[in-house]
Amino acid sequence: MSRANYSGFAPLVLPALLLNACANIPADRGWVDVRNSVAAHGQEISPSSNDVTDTARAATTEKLLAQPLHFEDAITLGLLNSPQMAAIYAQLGLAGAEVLQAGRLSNPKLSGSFGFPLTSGGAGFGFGITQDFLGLLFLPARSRLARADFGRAKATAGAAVMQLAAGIGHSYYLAIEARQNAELLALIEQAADAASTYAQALFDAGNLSELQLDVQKVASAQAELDAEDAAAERDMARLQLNREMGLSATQTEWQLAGGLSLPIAQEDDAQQLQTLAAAQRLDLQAAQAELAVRQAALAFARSTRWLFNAELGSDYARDTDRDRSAGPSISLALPVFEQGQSRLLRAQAEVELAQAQVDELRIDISNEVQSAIEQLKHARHRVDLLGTRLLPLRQSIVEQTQTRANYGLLGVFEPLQAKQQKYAAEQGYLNAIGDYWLARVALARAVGGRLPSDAQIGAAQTGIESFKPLMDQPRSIASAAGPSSQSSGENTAQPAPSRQPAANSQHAHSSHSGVSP
Amino acid sequence: MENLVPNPAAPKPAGNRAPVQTPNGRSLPYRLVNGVKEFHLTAEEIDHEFAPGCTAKCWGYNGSTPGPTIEAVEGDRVRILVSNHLREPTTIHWHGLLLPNGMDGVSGLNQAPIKPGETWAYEFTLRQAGTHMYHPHADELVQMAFGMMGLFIIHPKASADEPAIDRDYAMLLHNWALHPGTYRPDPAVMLDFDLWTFNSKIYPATAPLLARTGERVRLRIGNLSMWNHPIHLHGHRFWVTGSDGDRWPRSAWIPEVTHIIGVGQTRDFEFIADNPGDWALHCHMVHHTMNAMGHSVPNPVGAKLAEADAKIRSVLPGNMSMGSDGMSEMADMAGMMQGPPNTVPMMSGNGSFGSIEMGGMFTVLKVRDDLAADDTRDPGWYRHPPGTQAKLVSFDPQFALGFARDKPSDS
Ligand SMILES: [Cu+2]
Repeated sequence: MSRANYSGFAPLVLPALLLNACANIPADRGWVDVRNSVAAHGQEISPSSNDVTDTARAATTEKLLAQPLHFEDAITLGLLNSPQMAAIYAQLGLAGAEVLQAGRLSNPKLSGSFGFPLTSGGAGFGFGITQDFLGLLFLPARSRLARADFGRAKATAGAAVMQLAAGIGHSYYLAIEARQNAELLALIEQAADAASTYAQALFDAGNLSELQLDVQKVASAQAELDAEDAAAERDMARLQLNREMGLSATQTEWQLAGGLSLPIAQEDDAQQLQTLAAAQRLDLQAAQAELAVRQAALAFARSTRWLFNAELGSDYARDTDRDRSAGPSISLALPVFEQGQSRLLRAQAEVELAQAQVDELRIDISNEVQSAIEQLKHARHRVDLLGTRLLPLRQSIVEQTQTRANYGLLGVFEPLQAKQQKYAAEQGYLNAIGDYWLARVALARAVGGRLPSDAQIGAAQTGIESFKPLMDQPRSIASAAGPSSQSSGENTAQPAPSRQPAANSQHAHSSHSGVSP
Repeated sequence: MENLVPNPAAPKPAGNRAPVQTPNGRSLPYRLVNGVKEFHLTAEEIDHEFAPGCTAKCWGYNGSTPGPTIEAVEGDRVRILVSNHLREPTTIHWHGLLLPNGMDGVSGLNQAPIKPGETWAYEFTLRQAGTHMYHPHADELVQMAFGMMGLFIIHPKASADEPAIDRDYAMLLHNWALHPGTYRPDPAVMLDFDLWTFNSKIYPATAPLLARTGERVRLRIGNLSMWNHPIHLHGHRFWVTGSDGDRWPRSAWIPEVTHIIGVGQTRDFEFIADNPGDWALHCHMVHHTMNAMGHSVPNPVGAKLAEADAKIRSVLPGNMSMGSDGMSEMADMAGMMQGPPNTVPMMSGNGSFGSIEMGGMFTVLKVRDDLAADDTRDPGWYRHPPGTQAKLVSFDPQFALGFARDKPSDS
């Protein structure tokens, strides 16, 4: 290239460079915007692997794992450690790259040629530089679209964070439920073992037949098998949560805090949740952004229908006779065969597709919210039925059969059997409460943010409590009569006291007094 | 009502005849109407107490079960008015009486049933003496299961029994399916009854029978239950002197200490109360001297329960495993423990030496030297004269006399 002559095309390139200066993305790829957005939806990210060094991340993880894990701890850990967070950040990078790319002209194309004359004389050469003219012309519009699309990418990233958190919450409740279920089945096993041991003692004394003994022994063996199944489920659920918290299999030395708590006092208004979901779902916002981008693209395609591949160029040639020629060149495609129909149709179809996706998502969201509300309602009702009717009756039957056994009217097998049936009812109760909290997670997911009623769970309360102390106490304890000396009777582990007094009122115990089983 | 005789005992009957006493019960007053003794029985639902802590809706007559004892004399013309205050028809069958067929009370066979609200009259002349009974013969299964029954005692026309009776007690045996925790007998039960009663009371609510040393006592016992009952008296030998077939000739009297009174039968025992003390009088079917109990409870006697107990208590902290040494513990614990509602312990009662461990068909004959003839008050527990009571001689479990302990020989 001749140094003396390149100034001939410089005026064409410079404006493009200036244009490029307007199309940058933030250094954090918009991550802070994502964080603020999910925080506005109730999900703080404090912090993520995108915010801290690996050393700090490891330190925070270690500190959290040292304490029994509450609901929020599990989510914090997941958002801190899950590689999905890094993937979300990477996706932002990809979207950012698109913005950068859209904001810059494609690099000019340099072409050169050497010519060897057929006659004697020196060789000649020439070169040219061309720039996509339309690209230059469309640059501001393309930048605008790309920036809009980056907004979509951030909404998508926020939605992904919310999904990730909801998934962790789901696994957390499953893990708690599986753990408590295993505890209950271990208690059933314990009761069946007591009956079997008693039967063995009677058999050894010559008072029971082998058949009567075997009936008890087989029940005990079956209970042990059931407990083993439940323990396996517990371990699997625990590992699943481990995985979702972004922990490796070597990091499983953590404990879950407490047990599932009773439903909150007052659920959210259904209509309010629908309105909230329609307004705040980040994936809906992403789909709407996508639609807006497509609509703008369509408008742009319409306004530039008649412009086709145009190239603006600068040619320079020097012939062997040392004559030089230089000057701008333009090439335009003639709209003979292609008049922009395909470009318009494609843009139109993409608008329609984006619109359809928005419409479908709206319907999905509305139904997801409703479905979660129904699940929540039915789970609550089951919790209520079990807590106010089934369990008190099961407890009463335990007490009554115990009274009769102590009075010589029944053998001890009957209260042991009744106790196992009570545990089985508690299993149902646990399952209903688990379903309730899973439904709340599903509802939060459907609404696209934390539920307003989460506030009722309480500041110190992290969404989990144990209901076991309530169930194992004689019913008279929970009544207004106040504490009783009978409450220390149970041998089962006593988890932390309830921090959710409002929920206790759900659990209407009869004031009927009875003997502790 | 001026002719009403509140208690046949009050104007002492002709001769030296002792008044009939129905422990825990009473005799039915009558009035004389033109020489006819007119009684009035009302069939009705009642609240009956078997013992403190155990009551039930029962059916009876004139507010009680058994209904009041009807007493009359051989040759009397009696008219018994029967009012039905139940919600279903009833009749009364005069069990063992010799009477016109139309007075026999079998519903449908001898008469139309007495409908609710109706009052019917039975009238006949007594042509016999002895211990008899009355009970419904309409929906008999239900009405008897609920307690409708009574004694009908006919004194002989002769001025007095020979030898003269000083105390004349009358008891009706019955069984009840009053399941623990319930308040109405279950008429569907055929065998597994919960309560066994003397005059519809279970021990310790059965009134004691009193006698002064040397008195001649008659015990009239009728059985309207569904089991036979070998009634056993301690410390005395009695003669069986009569049945539904009136007083037996002396040559037919049977000396016994236990006599079975079959279903639907009556028997009269007579004895001289010549042995002062507190004497058990009871049915000898051991389950009949128990109150409500479990009949299909696993048997823990002889079992080594330490390990099982520990495990059971970890599941059922309130469990009281008892019975590996026997069931005495039950009686000791029963007073302290709360059973099911409306259910008394299977055995209880306390004497001056501890738990009597009885229930059901059990009472005490109290023979005292210093009892006035008309004294019916409970004199308390017997005070044993020195040298007349079993005593402790050793705490040594290996205690033996000067020779080897007597055992069956190995052969
Ligand atoms: Cu008997």
